[in-house]
Amino acid sequence: MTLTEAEMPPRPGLPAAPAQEGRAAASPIRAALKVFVQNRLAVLGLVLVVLIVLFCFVGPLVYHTDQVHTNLDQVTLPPGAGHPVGTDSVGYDELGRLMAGGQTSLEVGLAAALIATLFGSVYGAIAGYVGGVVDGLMMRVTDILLSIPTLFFLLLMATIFRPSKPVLIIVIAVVSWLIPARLIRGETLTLKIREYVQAARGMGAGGPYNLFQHVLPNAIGTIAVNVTFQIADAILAVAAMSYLGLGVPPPAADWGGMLSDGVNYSYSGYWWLIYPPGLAIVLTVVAFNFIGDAVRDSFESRLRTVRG
Amino acid sequence: MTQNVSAAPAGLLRIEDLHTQIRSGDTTVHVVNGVDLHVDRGEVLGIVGESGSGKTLTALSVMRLLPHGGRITGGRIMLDGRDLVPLSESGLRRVRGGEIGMVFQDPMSSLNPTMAIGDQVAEAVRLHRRVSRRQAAARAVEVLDQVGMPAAARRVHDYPHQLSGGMRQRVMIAIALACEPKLLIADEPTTALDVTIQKQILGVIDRLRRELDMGVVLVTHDLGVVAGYADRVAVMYGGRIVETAATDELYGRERHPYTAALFDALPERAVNTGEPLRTIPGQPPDLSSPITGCAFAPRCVRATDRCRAEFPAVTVEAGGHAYHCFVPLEHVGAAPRAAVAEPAAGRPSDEAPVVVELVDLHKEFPVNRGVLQRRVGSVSAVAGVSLSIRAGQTFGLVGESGCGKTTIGRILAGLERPTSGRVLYHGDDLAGLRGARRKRLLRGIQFMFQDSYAAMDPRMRAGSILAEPMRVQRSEDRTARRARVEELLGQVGMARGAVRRYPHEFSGGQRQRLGLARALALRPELVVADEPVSALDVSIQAQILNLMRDLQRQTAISYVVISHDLSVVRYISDVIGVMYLGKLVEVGPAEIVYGRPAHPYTRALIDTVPVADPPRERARRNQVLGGEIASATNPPSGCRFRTRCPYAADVCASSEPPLRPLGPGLQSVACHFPLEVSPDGST
Repeated sequence: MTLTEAEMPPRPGLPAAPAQEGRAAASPIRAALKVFVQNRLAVLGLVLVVLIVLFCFVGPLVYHTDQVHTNLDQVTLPPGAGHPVGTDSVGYDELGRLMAGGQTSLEVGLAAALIATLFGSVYGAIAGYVGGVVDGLMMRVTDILLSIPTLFFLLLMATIFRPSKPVLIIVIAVVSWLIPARLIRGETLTLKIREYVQAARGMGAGGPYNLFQHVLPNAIGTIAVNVTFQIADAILAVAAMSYLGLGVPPPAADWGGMLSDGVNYSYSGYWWLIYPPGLAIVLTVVAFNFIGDAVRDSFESRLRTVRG
Repeated sequence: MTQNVSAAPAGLLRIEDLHTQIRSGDTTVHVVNGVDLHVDRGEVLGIVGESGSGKTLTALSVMRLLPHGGRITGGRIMLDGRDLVPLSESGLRRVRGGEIGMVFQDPMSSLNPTMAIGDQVAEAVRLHRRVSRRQAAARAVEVLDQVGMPAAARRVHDYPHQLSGGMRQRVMIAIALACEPKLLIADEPTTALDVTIQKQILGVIDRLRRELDMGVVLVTHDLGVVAGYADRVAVMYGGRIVETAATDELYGRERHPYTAALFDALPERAVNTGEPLRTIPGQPPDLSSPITGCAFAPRCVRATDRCRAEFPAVTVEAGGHAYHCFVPLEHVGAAPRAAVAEPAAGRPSDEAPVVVELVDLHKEFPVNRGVLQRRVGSVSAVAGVSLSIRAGQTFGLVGESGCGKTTIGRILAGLERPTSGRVLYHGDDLAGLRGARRKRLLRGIQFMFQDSYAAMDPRMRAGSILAEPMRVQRSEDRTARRARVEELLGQVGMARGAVRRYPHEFSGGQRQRLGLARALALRPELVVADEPVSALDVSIQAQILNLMRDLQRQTAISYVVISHDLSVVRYISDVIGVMYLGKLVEVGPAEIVYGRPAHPYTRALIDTVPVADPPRERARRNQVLGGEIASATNPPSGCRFRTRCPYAADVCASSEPPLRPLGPGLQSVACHFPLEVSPDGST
């Protein structure tokens, strides 16, 4: 009987071959993580996101301010003792308000992005996998929705519904799911003709099994990248809506609304009402974009280190 | 060690002690480790070796077209007495295309899809010669004519996608030869082509070599290709040339154990002996760390401690036969290796029960065009094929690409539905069944993919991959599945620890074992193997073929083996079916079909498959099947082979020959003028 590769006995007098069997296999996720960590901008982005989240959610526990009652004695105070970043036009502490506003922006952005990506991915995957007439119909629906200007749609929605966090989430998700739907449909078209999907069909597997076992998991890279970019976009969308006065009503706050408020005083020199929320929005969006870029690279398999 | 391999005067190309490395990340791969070779004018040097042996990188080093991170770290590359290594990039550009032409494996990716082929050839001319646009265009027509492009003056306006693979490769050769280089480097020039086209292309290269008095370096993994066309052959292993000799000398009196092992692993060496193929144990060397001693020593049965400690210096025999080995093979007085082995008996008989029967199977794929995707025609992939597969037998299906053999395999495994006709599996017609019953019946027929890597979900571990068929079919419970997975791994000769590894962590041969194991998971009666070994090196190919054979003996499973490689099919099959353009043109017992073919196409296939036997290959040089496979959207009337058939007559165009048996124990053939078979096997 001939010796096969796997059962070759070690030969005396030779350095032992690397013990492949013993070592735990490097999972694709772990390999992806390795590439991610090598990207300095991504690590910077991740650190920024963690800091922003800590600032918004842990900050208020340490730095107590009243974000419910206005204080008209102390309006538009410049940064100084008692108010490190000053106060706004109705006397709220600006630093405390940044924290509270950040909570809204992050929560709405994250939730809207997740809902949009989840729904869009499944929608796109079904369209792509089933194909034919179903695909044509489903994709024409997205085409029609995409042809409606986003801003117009947001304004329409905001006039119909009273703005609140859940409403903002739903409205932004409704305009955002179209992009992941198209993206994942395209991905599915290439994945469904892969041989491992055909192999599963040969075993007798049906459509739903293949979709959730082979197609969607292998599109996870595209989906993950999309989520990060969607979060950035959703935070911008929240800001845009609030800037137009369609954000959460006071006393709740968010960064876009704060920025809009501050811009009213731009000729009065109240810079502390403009730069901090503006900077917060830019930093958050950039941080998520950095992460998105790195996630895309991590799932690009040829950048992964191949085990020799 | 840097001593010249022969005492011949300085040739056209002389490489001395060439070292090339590729750095990627923090690893450095030593791909070429001290290569010495020379090529004279008008001479063909074949470089053979398995993947990773450094043969392609040696060729690319000459052109300095190394992949990213690649660098020549030592040695000299003398072209007509001038060293190319210290040359600047711009100096080298004059050499590339001007003095050295290169032909790559894949003509489609090497041609610009947006440029007419005439312009691409003319471009090569204008890069190296000061000629007018018109002169360059005229030269393009001239060269395309030289490489055998029919109606070259008209075809210059065609784009690459309008040409067949063989014609594209002719264009590549035309580009390489546009400036009449002194040296042509051909890297696997015919690997992507069908055998009949391969023979045409090799003929073109050989003719031009004589006409232009060029030196040719022919890099290939195929021992048969070099046998017929190379004057000398260099065998590479682990980035070094381990043996060089004149072709006839090497193919009968090889001295290096690696060369011998390569020959022994060829399927044609074991046909009919009933013996398993000889394999090379172990794996190719890891070139990312320097190798001490002979790179082949860990896999060599003759290796001694000295082999592992130092690399053997060159030994040069009379006639220029050179090798690096301390323990060379002796051929003193030994008879040359028997080219044709003795026939063996004891194959499964025709009385075995039929497992699957195909009845008048047709498959057409629609051709849609335009914005509305209107159906404008159809490709007739399978046109009326009937055949039966018996228990415990291997049915080999051969033919060139586009003949419909893979479509038949896919229909058998339920991956495709036939347009008409029946697939009878124990009396049930799989073509008409749907739903749960079909799903359960299809357990009995499993498909094994050509590229197991592509056929495995990269996110699943080997254990889940092997268990998936059982999970999908809801057969066995969790513990039974786990036990079955371990049993399967044992059957294909892999360790249990493999279950936790991912597909990319296995070698090509191991993946093919996994692919076979997965096909066996549901205990099928029939496994359809689509090109099971065509992506593998000879030594690994032999392991897989042996394994398939062993498993058949143990479990009495039936195989349908689909392959373009006649020698593989002949080795493993009991019955061979030959397909041409959707038709089964000849079917019968393997030895009869191979030994006494009755259809002109089968004859042509056998004549064009390169075999590792230089005198025989040279004798058959002129037996070329002209033309190319006809269009399947508009197949020829009558016999579909008539457009290429040397014996075609009027009746062949008007009526289609039925498949009819020639006699008891003989094959069936679909031909109006079956070849007369004389008792000695010649036709």
